[in-house]
Amino acid sequence: MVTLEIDGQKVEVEEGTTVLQAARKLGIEIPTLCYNEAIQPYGACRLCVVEVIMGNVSRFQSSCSLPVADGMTVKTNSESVLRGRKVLLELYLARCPQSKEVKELCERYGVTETRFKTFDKMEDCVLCGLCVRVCDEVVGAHAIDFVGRGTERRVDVPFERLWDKCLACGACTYVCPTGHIQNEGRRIGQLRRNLGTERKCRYMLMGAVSSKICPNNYECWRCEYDQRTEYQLGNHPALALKTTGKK
Amino acid sequence: MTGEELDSIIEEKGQDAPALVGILQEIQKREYCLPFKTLGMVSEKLDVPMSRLYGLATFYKSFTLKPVGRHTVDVCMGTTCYVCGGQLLMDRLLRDLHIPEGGTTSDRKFTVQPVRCLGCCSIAPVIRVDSDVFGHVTQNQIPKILERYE
Repeated sequence: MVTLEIDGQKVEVEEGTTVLQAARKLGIEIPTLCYNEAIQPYGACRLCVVEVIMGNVSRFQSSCSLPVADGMTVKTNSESVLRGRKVLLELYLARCPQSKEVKELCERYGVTETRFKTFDKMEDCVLCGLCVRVCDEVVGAHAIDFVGRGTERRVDVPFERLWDKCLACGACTYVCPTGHIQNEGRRIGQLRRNLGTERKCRYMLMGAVSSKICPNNYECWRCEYDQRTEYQLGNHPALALKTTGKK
Repeated sequence: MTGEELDSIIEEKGQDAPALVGILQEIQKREYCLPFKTLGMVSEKLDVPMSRLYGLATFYKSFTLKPVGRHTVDVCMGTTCYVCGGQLLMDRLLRDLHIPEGGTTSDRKFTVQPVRCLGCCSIAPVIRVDSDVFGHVTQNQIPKILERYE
């Protein structure tokens, strides 16, 4: 067990937990975009930045990827942390001015306008990599990855057309913090109509075919992809989507 | 590229993840691009997802998905070279070879592209053909330089 201090409160957690998890245990809110409990921390969005004081040294680190250590003092809301977070939010606002989630975060931290240049007004992908990682780690389909670099970086399938590996499971839509992948619904819809050559399953989001046997001889909703996704995310992406659809 | 050729490359470079870029570089060197079919074979042989290979191929500038010429002509467009007439060299090259910027000649001999600083500003303006660097280049020297390459 490791003891550390977060915002003046002492907390005892197991070794190997991250600072973010320890803070959430205390009920301290740290904003995140790229974090999901089921997936390995990635540290892409930097919004979870905290001030860590070890001895006389104070550093800024992303709390989602920082393991706890004895004698650590963490400040999650100090002035300099908030200042850093505001700059980050300005950057996010410049990239995705339309995104609802980014706007909400900005409102919470009092960021109203950005000093940076806005490129694409319709962009809402924050490149957090959650969809890429859920596809790799949880589903194991490896259908999507980052393509290009710098300002051209985006999430896509290989050669913009190789959809065969995609199972249309919807896990990426489920984890996406800004709903960018939902806008790809048209392409995923096409995919389900279009029978690929290497396909494993194209019906995971439909739900209506629960009694059918898929080409891989699994009963629907009980295939290994489905089970693994449901187990690791704690909820099936398809079920989550259905409830939001009714609203 | 045949499967055996690819096997020999993989044998030489190794099978682990760090060798991946080396393997792709070797393919790029031999085929002058990363063909879809070859990438598929690499993905199968090394058990690396295609999405990852495509990510790598689009990340690094030295990889291209469309074939380039046998020789790459890099014209330095860094500040010094630009001031000393890099743009004139570029114009001359494109005029002589009848290609647009970044284009490839129809006989697949040359590809001309602008690059940022090559790190030898003292001999500006600079052009680089494959790995040979030419300094203090004037427009009139360009046909001679191009003649050297087959």
